[in-house]
Amino acid sequence: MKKLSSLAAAGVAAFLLVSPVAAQEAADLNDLEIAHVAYVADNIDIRYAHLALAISTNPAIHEFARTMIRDHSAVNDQALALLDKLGAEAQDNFLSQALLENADKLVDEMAGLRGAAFDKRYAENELAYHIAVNDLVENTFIPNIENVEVKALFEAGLEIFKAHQGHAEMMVEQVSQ
Amino acid sequence: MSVRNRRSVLAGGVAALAAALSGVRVAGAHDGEDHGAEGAVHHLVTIERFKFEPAELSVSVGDTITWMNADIAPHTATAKDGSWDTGTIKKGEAISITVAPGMTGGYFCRFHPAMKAELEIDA
Ligand SMILES: [Cu+2]
Repeated sequence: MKKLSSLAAAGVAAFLLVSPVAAQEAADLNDLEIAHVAYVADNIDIRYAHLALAISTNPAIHEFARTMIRDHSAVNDQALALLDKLGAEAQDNFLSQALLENADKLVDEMAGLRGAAFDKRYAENELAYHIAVNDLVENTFIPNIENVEVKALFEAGLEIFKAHQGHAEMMVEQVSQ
Repeated sequence: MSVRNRRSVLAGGVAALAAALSGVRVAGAHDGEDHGAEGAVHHLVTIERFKFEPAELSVSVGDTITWMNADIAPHTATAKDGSWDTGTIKKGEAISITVAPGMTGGYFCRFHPAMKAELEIDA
């Protein structure tokens, strides 16, 4: 994938998550902190999707954005139900905050774009974002989660986000033509 | 649209769903069919891990197909030519359609277009 390096550079989140220090600290998070990161990461993608629905006029981008909202909301509902069942509450932490900070910057940046420039930026960010989050979930979170039910939910979530990654690849190709 | 939809919401997931559907003569996913009183067959397609299973299904007009979603993500089964559509199938839900003439051909998930499958109507 020749675009990967520019995409990764474009995604601030991707940069954050591949830095070795952040990766080590991410590995030290407990289950409830991990759950918080995932919940925040879901909500960030939902926020990007709402921005896309507001700005883009491309029907394929709209369809993709609606799928992001639908699926990430479904995962968050499951996560909340599980936390409720476990009688636990997700715990805010440095990584959740860093993700939110980066998302604020990206939303500001994308909000200034229109037309094809927005579609391209949105699609590329979706790809970079899903690659970064999937890497974090697969290689850092899942091996470190202790609760079996939480782990199972992350495995199911990873399946969904990998499908999104593939879908985002299609979107990037489509808007680059 | 001549299709008949039936939606059943089952909190207990796949096992409960299979048990509930056994009352309406659903086949196992592997042998793929179960003959009802008038020769109509009930087919079950499971949607799991972003795949339709079985991905290829031979049906006859008048048969019933039930799509059952075992994923957290909502899916649809939608004809490529737009002629039929189950609508949204949420986690743990199943939707059935009675096979009408012309339903043969490819279908996909509107939400996740990489998910594809095929119906073939036997003469
Ligand atoms: Cu789908």
